[in-house]
This record gives sequence, structure tokens and C-alpha cells, in this order.
Amino acid sequence: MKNLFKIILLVFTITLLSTSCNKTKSDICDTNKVCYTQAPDELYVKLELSTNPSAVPIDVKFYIGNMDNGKLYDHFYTNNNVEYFLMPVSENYTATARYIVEGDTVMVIDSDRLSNQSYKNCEETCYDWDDEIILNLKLSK
Amino acid sequence: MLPNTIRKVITVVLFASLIFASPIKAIAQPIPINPFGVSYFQPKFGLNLGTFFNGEDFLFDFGLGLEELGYDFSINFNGSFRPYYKTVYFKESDKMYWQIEEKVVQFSLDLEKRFYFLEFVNSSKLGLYGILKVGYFYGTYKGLSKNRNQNFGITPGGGLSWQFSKMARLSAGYLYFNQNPYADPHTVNLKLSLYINNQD
Repeated sequence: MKNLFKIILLVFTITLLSTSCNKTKSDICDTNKVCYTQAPDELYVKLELSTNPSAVPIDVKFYIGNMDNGKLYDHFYTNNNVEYFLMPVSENYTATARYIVEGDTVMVIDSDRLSNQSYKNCEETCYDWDDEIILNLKLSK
Repeated sequence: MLPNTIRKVITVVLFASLIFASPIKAIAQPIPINPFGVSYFQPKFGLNLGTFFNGEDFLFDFGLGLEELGYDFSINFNGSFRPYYKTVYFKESDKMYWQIEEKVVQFSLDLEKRFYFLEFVNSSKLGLYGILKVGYFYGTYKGLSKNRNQNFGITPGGGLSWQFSKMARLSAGYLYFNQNPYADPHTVNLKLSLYINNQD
């Protein structure tokens, strides 16, 4: 009997653990909440760069998809610490920045997905999104 | 529906109740026992959750499999992963380095043997353990479609093992996690093992 109790307790705990983390916005029914019913077509991808230690412009490449099998969208040299691209949502974007550090080339790579989330507020489908994603191309050491 | 905070509190209380369902009645009067002595075959189904970490890295580790309580060994299938991206450096070629974000995963068959040398009045036991994680390791990287650093390897470890109830054991020790070339291999390993034991 005691062991049966333990097993029930174990199953109940696991069930509670698995269900306690999946609360979504679909639970919401709040008529006062602002609801955007149109999903954005394009959002910003922000590239954050370090200053090149060698003081020459940084070689930047921007890809739709991954670096190794995606499409090269832009290739440029810059001295800016920030660059923006207005890009279609629901895509992965990857950027690379080449720095010259004490004679070595360091290529910084970052990638993220530009996306929005939908949820139900009462009976309406609403959209939520971040205005931009940040690809961190700063040297970390 | 209950608020998330209340549900989390209930979950923690239930989990703690589960672990201590067989309470430690007495930790005094330890009896030295032969660490190489064995009993009869008592196979149980078990699951374990743990972590291995150091100052630079942190991985979760989950597994399930066989817990043998008579001969004090375990054979578990485990999955370990780093739950966040970590910045690492590759030397791609001469004078060319990559700075990239990495997650790592390892699937392993965990073979563990325990050597208990103290037994307490309530049948809880204290001893040493040795473990071998025989597994497949790989890293996933932001911006790359393919995994890298795939390899099969053996991760050895050992430490203290405390079977504190008839259905739970706590292990704390060292794990030489040498599969990843971009991280310090010396890690601390903490693990809680639970098993279904229908013997009183």
C-alpha cells in the first residue's frame, strides 16, 4: 500500500512537472488587451559589431539561412558598430564579421530566427513580436 | 487554473515528499560493511536526474534504466545537454579562428558500480561509486547547418554515493568530461537516482 502511494505520488509529480511549464497565451481572454490581428511581414535584424582592433573596416557578410548552406544576401565593409536590415519574418538569418586581431583573423558568427508568435485572445487570433532581433558580432575577448 | 507560482510550490513540496517518503529514521549507529559484498539479485527500474558542471560549463543529465540493488550496479541510458549557448573558439586554419555559439549533447550508456562501506539502522548506505559514460557526443552551432565535433568517447568518474531511502540515492563526485575540446574537462557531478522498490 505504501509503495502504491509512492508510485501514484511519482506519476502525479511527473504529470504536474510536465504540465506546469506549458501555459501559453492561448489561456488569455482579456478584452482590454491590445490585439494585433495582422502579423508583420518584415522586421529588423540588428548587427552589433566591435571596433576592429586593427582599425581597418570590418568584413561583414549577411546570409538568409545558415552560413554554410544559406544564401549570401549582402557583403560589405564597415566601421560602424551597428547595422540594420529590414527582412521578411519566419526566416533564419546569419551574419559573420571578420576582425584582424594581432595578425590573426577572427570570424565572429551569430544566427537567429526572425519570427512572431500568435495566440488566441478569447476568439481572436493575435500576433506578438519583437521589433528586432540582435545578432551579436562583437569580439568576446 | 492555479497561478504558476502556487503550482511550482506544490510541485516542489510533492517532489520533496516523494524523495523523503521513506524517511531517514536514524543516521546514528553506522555499521561497517564489506564494500565488495553482494546480496541476491534485485533488479529495479530506475530514473536519474543530475548535472555536471564547472566554472565554465553546465550540463543537465537525465537517464533511465536498470538499478540493481543486490549487486549495487546500474545500467542506464542517459542524455546530457547544455541548456544554453556558450561562446567558443575554433582554430579553423593557420591564423584563422571562429568565434561561435555552441550547445552540446551527449547520449550515453552509463555503467555504475557502487561500493558501500557503511550501513545505517534504517538501511540507508554510504559508499563510493565509479561510473563510465560510454557515449556519442556532438555540438550544434548557431549559423551552421551541420553538427561538429562528433565523437564516441568514454567519460569516467567517481565519488560518494548515499542511498538514503529504499527508493532514492544521491551521488556527488567528479566526472572527467573530455569529449568537448572547447571546455575544461574537470567537472563536478551531482545526481539523484530514483527507483521503484516494492520491498520493505
